Amino acid sequence: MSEFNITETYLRFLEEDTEMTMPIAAIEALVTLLRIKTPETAAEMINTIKSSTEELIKSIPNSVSLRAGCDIFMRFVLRNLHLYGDWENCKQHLIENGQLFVSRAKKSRNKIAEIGVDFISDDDIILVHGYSRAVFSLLNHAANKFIRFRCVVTESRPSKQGNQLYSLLEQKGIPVTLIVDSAVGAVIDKVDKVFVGAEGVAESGGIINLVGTYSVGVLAHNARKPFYVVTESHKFVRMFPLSSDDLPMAGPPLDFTRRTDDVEDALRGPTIDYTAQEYITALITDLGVLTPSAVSEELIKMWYD
Amino acid sequence: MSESEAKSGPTTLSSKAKQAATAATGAAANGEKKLTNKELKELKKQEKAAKRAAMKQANGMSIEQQQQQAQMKKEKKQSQREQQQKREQKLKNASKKKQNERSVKKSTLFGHLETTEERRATILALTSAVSSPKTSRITAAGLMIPVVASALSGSNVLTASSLTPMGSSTASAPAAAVPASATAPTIAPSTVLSAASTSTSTNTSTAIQQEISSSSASDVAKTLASISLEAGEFSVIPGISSVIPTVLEQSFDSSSLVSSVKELLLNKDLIHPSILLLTSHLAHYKIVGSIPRCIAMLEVFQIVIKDYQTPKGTTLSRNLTSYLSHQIDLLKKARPLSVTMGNAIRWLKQEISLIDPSTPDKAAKKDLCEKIGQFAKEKIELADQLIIDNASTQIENSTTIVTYGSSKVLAELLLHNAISLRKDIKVIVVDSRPLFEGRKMAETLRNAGVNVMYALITSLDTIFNMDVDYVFLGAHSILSNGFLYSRAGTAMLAMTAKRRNIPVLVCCESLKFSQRVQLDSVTFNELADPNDLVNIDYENPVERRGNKGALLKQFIKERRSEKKKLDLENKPKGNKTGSKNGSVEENKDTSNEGDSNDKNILDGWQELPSLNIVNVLYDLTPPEYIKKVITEFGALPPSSVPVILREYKGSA
Amino acid sequence: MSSQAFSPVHPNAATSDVNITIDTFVAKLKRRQVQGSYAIALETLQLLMRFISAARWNHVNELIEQIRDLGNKLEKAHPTAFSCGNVVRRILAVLRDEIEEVSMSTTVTSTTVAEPLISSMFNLLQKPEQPHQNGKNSSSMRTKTDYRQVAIQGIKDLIDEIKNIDEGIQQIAIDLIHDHEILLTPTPDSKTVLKFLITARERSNRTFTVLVTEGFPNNTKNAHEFAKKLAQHNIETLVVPDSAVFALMSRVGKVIIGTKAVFVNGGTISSNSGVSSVCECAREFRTPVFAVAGLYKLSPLYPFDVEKFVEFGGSQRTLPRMDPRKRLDTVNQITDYVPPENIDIYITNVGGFNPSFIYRIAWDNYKQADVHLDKKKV
Repeated sequence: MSEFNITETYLRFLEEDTEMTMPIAAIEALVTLLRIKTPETAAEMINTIKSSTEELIKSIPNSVSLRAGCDIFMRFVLRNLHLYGDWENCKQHLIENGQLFVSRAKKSRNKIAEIGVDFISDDDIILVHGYSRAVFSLLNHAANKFIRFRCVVTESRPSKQGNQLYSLLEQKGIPVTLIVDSAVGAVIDKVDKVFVGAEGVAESGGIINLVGTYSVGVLAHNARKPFYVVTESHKFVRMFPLSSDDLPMAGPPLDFTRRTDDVEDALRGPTIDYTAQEYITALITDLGVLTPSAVSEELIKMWYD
Repeated sequence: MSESEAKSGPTTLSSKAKQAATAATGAAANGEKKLTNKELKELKKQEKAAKRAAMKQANGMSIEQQQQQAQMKKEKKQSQREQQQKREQKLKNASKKKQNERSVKKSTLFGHLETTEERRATILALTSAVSSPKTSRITAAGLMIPVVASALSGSNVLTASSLTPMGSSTASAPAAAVPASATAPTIAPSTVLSAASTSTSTNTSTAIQQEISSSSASDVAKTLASISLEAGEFSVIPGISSVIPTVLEQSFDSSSLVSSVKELLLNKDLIHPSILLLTSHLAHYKIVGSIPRCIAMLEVFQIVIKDYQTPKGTTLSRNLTSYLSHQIDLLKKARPLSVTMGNAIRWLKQEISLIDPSTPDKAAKKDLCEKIGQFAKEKIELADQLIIDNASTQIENSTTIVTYGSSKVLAELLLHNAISLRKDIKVIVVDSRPLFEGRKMAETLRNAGVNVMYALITSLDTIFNMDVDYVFLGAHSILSNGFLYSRAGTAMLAMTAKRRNIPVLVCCESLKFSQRVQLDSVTFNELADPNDLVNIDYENPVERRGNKGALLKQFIKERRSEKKKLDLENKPKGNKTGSKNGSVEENKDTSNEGDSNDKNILDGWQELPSLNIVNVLYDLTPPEYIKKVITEFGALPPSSVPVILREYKGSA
Repeated sequence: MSSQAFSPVHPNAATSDVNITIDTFVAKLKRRQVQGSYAIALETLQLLMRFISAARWNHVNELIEQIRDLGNKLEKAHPTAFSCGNVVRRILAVLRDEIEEVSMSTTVTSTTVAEPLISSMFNLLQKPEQPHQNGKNSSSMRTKTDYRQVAIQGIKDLIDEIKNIDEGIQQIAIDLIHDHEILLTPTPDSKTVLKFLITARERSNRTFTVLVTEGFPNNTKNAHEFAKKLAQHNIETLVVPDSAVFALMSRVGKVIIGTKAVFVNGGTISSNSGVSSVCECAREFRTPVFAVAGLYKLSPLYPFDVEKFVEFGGSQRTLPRMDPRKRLDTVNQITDYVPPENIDIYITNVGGFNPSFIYRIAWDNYKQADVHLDKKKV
């Protein structure tokens, strides 16, 4: 029993199912934990979850997204305990329905696509930064509905997620072009709207996402282009970062220590950034189209209902 | 007419007449006294009339003409009389009401700016001063007898046809006998003046002059009766007095205006007829746009200089400048000078001062005229050519261009690109009320085969949702701090474009650069006639209705109420004609009012003390909205305006 | 039709009668003969009252479907008469609330309105839904009469609310202007704005200046009448041409706009063109813009495609007739969309709200299920 490693489980989930998002993987990992550990009392269960969550967050450098999943899970457990007191039942439900959550999460993506398809109209040129499953499912859905639009995909370094999205869209037959991240400013005037995903949506309605999102957001705002965030509501997280350097990160945002002479290797820096709510036109979620301020309401409802 | 002149007037008259005049001032108030005084006056008048008739006959005037003239004078006198009555009434109403009326005309925000009405009043005073009795049908701007108005093709009063003879007749007038001819033309202005300053000493003298001029009036009652007759059948009887609606009259409340008018009147003889013509064109927006206005002015200056004769005892280089200044003073009264005009005038004055005093006048005049022609060619024609060449590089195939209102250089630019260079461009002309200059622009382009779209400034949102590549704007002026001073609405367009990241380009000759700095559109601006906004056909708003009738309507209304009062006064006296005419009038009144009342909701806005209409002509566009300014010196950022002003002032 | 529709119609009145009424109203909407969202809202409600009085149904869901069909029909007839769809949705929401209440109290889970309106992110972990039993038959007779009552009462309440909307707005709005302030309004056709200004002058005795833009070409008549009315109430009024807005904006203390429809994102459709430019100007000068809107103007729609919501008129109002061979293209925008970022605050009869909070007010009054009346329920 002691061999159970929450981090490993989490990573395994992510590996096994590429469609799975980090918060869901975190929830799944926690469910697995409950299944294996089978806590005897409510207090024990809470403590197990708490410590495992902390462990998980600590061990994963980019923890924003999974933190959202842990938050929801924790909150759900607490609420069930407090409100209904039937923790057994709750545990049972959680353990039994592990697969259900995953499928629901996937379904929520379809729902987003359903809701968001109205945002895409014929002849649009859409800029996408980073690879987000939610964004892709939305674009995919729009293409299936025979909406004729074109996409501009950024390379999205350092993860190069853009290449992945590029080939996916290419396969789908959507006219698409790949640009380097630094070219966003040059093409922003030609673009009609911007879609990005999110790793986490903060309390204020701002988003935490792949580095470069902030730059794109500022450029879009400056050019008065609508900037839409496509994300599942389970990524809402009780965090309120003030700026990008206020995010939990592996190292300091700027690292001046000298390591090697290899330039490629010397390339370091933040991998995520924070885009404040004033740059966001609307959030397209499975709960509907939300203004950034509605995020806060969702979170408040979750914690204080 | 200056006060001193007015004062000197009465001294030439007999003391009897003076008495009569003073009595006449109170005529309306005191009926009985009037009669006795009237007899005295009558004698005097008949005497004068006989003299004048003789004189005129000597001048080759037929009796019929004389009669006609007499009739006109009579009418004139009547109107003056009437105004005097009004004045008295106003006095009774004390100054409180007056202040109320003042606030009607001047809005809270633009109180510091000269209103159209003030300008009109000045021009009116002046034109009536300059015009001879023969053409005295010329009245307030916009105030014309409909019969005559329809006969003339022009939209407004001071048309070319009516002005030219006026000018020439003034020129020939001095030949006529001194007392007779001098009094006649000065009547109108003195009325105006006295209207403004009832308390001043001009009052008495005016009254006297009035009495003198009314040569054929025989009896007060009769006169009053015929006033009502004429007031009623305004549209039937051609040739009418100089009439000034009280609205305008009130404009003379401000002393500064009065003094400026006096100044102008004093120098009225110096004014060249072609300047008068130009003034009227400008005042009625027949010539609009800062470049056309400037060209027109330069052309007129050429004529003026050609006709100019240096008075004895001075030289051309000294005297011509001041002579021109008098002309310019009048021009200013039409509309505030455009920056181009100001710059051109400054240049011209400098040129004049550079003339060697030893040059013979003829040569100097010829030289000046040539230089003016050259200036216009260099600063406008060639500059436009350079601007067009430069701006054309900016326009590619299949671009969409938004422009606002009408601009000469822009129209040429767009035509050049669409026709000569065969570029496939789409032009969206944005326009606004009340001038609708863009219509002309759109039609010009359309007729040349350019792909044009026309929209109003309220549809900006839709326009900029289309694929717009550039906004091209014309300019009235660019100020030294980089602000663009242009037709009202330009700033809004530029702002909207800027907020959508569409580049805004301004095509502007360097002649339009101004030394002035200004921060917002309220501090300095030009107020156009508020009545332009009143007239609208709500069902068919595109049909532009001029405000021709606005002042006339106002006047007729005043007349009517006046007439009714007079009728009431007359009736006790048992004057048959008066009452008879009155009753006829009454019928007309009701029928007239029936069809005119429901037309414009804002008709009669002057009577609502808290209602104002602001019709500003220009606004200021901040430099941050403007990407570049294309001039004959190349494309510049707006911040470079002072550089150009400094570097090239010498050549300008 | 206003007065007779008010009189309670006998439930047994022939449905064909109602159909005729509906058809005439649809025709009127199509021909744009009913003007102004206020009139449209009231007429729609009166029609709805007759419709419900005459409707027959076995289960309340049938009634809801019928009302949805009617609403859809009306919306199709005049897609930009938002108040029409809004009031229909409001009544639907009343019915659905009632259904929920009934189902709560009777524990018979006859909830066909399965999910909560805004499904929370929490749903992810919720237990799967229980297959619900159908308790239709047991309560059908009772509910039928009940719901008719509920709906009609709802309609009456809503009519009351709409008629008394100005009161509520004035209470809040007056506190937003100070003495000697210069206000600008680009929507002279808004009765709410007019009444508010007059009340502010007369009841609260504030002195202020109002600038009224002309709204050429479609609204000039309204603007002139508006200005005249204000002036007659002793309010300093200035009529300004649309082009002078930028020139004067630096002197304006606040911009007041009336609305035709308010969307969940906080954007608004105003019934006069040029309003968006005015609000943009105001934003540029940092002049506060406040919008007055009765609750019934609130629409649960999201303006995905603004061009679909903006109305355009004929060219005869922008250009004189001309040679057909040399025709000019022209635009005549009748309404205008103001994005939420250019509005500072909404004053409604239930309070003042930030544009970003409008979505919440909308969901308080509408049900998500009714957003798209044309979509059949799955």
